Amino acid sequence: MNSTYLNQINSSYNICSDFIFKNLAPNMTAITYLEGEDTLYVRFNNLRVRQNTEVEQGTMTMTLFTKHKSIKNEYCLTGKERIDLLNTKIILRKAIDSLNHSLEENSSYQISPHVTESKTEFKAFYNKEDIIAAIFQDAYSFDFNGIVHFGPIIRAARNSYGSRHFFSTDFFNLDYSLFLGNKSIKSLYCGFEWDQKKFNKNFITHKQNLKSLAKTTISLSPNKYRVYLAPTAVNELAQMLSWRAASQKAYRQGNSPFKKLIENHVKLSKHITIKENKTLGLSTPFSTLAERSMEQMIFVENGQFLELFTSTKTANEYQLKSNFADSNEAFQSLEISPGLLEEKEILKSLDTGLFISNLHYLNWSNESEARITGMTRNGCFWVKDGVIQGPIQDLRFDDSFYHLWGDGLESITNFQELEFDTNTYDKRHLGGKKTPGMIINEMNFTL
Amino acid sequence: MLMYSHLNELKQYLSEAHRQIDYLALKYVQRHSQNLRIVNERPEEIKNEFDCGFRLEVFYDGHFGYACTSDTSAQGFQRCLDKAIRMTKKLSCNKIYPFSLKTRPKIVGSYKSQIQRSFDSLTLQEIQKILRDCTLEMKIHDSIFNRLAEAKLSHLEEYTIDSLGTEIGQSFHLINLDLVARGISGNEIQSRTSNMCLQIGSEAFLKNHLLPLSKKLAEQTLELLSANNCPKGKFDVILAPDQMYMQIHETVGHPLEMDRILGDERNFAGSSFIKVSDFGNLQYGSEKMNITFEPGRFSEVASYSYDDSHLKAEKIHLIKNGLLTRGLGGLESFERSQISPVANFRSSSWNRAPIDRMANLNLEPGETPLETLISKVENGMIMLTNRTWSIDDFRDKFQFGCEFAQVIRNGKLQEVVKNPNYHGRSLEFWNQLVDVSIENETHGTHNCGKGEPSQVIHVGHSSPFALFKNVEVF
Ligand SMILES: [Zn+2]
Repeated sequence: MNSTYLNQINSSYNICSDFIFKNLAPNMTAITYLEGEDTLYVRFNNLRVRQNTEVEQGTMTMTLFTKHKSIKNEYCLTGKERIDLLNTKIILRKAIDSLNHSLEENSSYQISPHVTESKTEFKAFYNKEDIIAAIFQDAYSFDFNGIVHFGPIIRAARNSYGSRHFFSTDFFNLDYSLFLGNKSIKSLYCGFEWDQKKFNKNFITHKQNLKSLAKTTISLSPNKYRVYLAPTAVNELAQMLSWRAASQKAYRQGNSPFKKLIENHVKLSKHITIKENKTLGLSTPFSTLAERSMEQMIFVENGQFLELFTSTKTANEYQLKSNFADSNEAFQSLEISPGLLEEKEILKSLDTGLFISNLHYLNWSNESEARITGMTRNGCFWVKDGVIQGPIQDLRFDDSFYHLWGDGLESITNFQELEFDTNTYDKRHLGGKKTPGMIINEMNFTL
Repeated sequence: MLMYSHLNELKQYLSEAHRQIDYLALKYVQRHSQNLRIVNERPEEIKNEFDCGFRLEVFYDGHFGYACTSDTSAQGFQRCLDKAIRMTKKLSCNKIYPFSLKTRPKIVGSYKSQIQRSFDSLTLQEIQKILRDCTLEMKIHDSIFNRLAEAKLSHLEEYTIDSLGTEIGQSFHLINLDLVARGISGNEIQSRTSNMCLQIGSEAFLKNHLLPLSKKLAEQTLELLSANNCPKGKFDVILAPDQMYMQIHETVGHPLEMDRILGDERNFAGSSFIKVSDFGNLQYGSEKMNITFEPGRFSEVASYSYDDSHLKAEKIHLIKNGLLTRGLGGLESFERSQISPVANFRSSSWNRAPIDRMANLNLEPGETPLETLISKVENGMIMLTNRTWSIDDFRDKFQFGCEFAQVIRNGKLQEVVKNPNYHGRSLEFWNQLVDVSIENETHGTHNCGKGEPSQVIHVGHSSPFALFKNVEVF
């Protein structure tokens, strides 16, 4: 790994893990987990640098459990073995003490004693400074706003049964918008290998798209409209599934907005298949519990609900079978299957309606009906008889997944777009989504 | 506390290094949080977090750049310094603005949360038992199937030092406490929740307050399970403080952030419908609207003495009698926009650079008792507790949902209705504000997200009950 810091962190992690596994109290099991990164973030406004921030961070998690009690300790590593080991000793002692003095939990916290191992390493084929130079050069005539970040990321997981997993990756993630006054188009370019030609070509396409954006803005009144949702807009919709929606635990606690789907009171369109697909290579093949993840889990197949993320702990609590989901029971590499609609047929097929490139700030408006609200954003156009008329004033929608992906769904594109997760809250997140575009015969706009 | 405390060494490294660059500052942050969660009278996993690291800020040719690490050793410091200097020098020729060092005044000062009882005054098990008893109080009927009580206690220590002699130490104690009573009837699920997010000590775990509150939440959940849906149409609506805090946050706080107005956030969180020329001119709301930035209010969650550019925090009116006067911009935004600054340049932790933020942003109370406010409503309702929120990237077209509403007819509270939602546009809405109550509550959230790279931070909002006319309810 091309990072002094991460090499030191990884070595510290292993020494501390060995210590923990050797010094457990009787009948106690332990899992350790490591997250580390050595990142450069450069933030742009109007193609000027607002802030540049380099971040070295390494966090270790020590989870201890006995039959009916568990405690998780997350602490940062310095990469200096003496200090990290000293901190580990203090935390372990305190954690054992806390376990002795806490109340008993509902469920027995167990993980599979089956020993698994893996090592995955993705290498980088880019140079940070070349990428920064390329941005200044190719975006020269644009009001360019956004962020680029790059550098290595590591994850590791071990448990006291002997399971041992390691994952490292190194990619760039360029997330930007180009503005024409208050109007904008958005683009994302991520990968392990920088392709200068592809990047140049993106800007030629952007120039074309900005021409459409330059047309007079059309203000539409709230109504039901026929729409085309581009893969990036479908990605935003799919984001609503990432949290709680496909979680066994959330469902059991009455906290899944897809209760009616899960209980077979409704079905989605037969064209809809949604799955977790680890083979996309966007996230680790193991969980924070040091269990090997399943390669695929199908949530919905041809409109029919199939399976929920079920962690070993939830499985124990509700007497179910574990599918080795991570403790958050959420999608990390979500894929929606493609359909038959060809790219060149999109405008013709849409005929008259809204071409929606992006959606913004989605939230549930009525969970029991799987109803959501949100806004259009960045590059949304009014189309008449298959011809783009001009950009629209942003509209608010309020509609149900059971309609949008149910009887409202007309067709799905035969291509998908793969997006890396751009989330940088607290750390660079792994994972992503692969989604197609969709034509929906009627979407409800309210404001 | 753990063995990270290298503050004296870090001070020495800084004093030896400052000649390598025009200006150098260091912010060291140490945080310990404990999360305790009880579901249906039994605990779930206990979670502790120990976080520690520092951020170097270097200034070269009018440009600020940063490097951060959890490696607090001499090597860690030097590696970080080399990185920060190299990249900041390289990018300074494309800087956003040629800042001056007036944006980093020299300050020596400190802050400490005012708490009555230390976190140690209750044991882990004592807190677990109080939370357990909360869920037990909710167990009033079989249909209340999911009962949750969760507390997160955080202790933060922050130190800032710089090459000009600044030395600021700030110490915070924060508690976030959530109560949820969730009920089911057939296919219908309804919840009532309560959140406390304050700078407070263990006095937060007051049984005399929490147990009756828990029971009331469960009772209201039962009421919702047999209630009709909220009627649709235009109504006069009283919003309770635990909804108003989100209304203030989304339709006043974010649009007034100067970094949004100056375009920094356009790719991510978004822009604002406010322009620099609106300050001093725009009638944002009715005369009853008085918004203050007040990062010194007792127990409100985002209270502090100094922000990350060392500016002293003071109470300032941003909107006075409805007129927009000031924005939420720190010293850097002040140099860029010439709009007078407030001390709001904040970072979530050592691993992120500071940006313009809300802190405590409050709607000032009025002189009308809530009872009188209710009596003024001929045909309308009162809505309690935010459930869902969404707003466009210019902070104009919003939609909110609440957990609980009660119809008001001819000035009298009537039946409970479920699933109330309302939508509107920011300026129009605030100009429909008729009156605010004398009763006032302090709320907050530890989840305000923005920035590239992204960061979540805690912000506080105090608000009275507020009556708006002609609200589009559905
Ligand atoms: Zn916010």
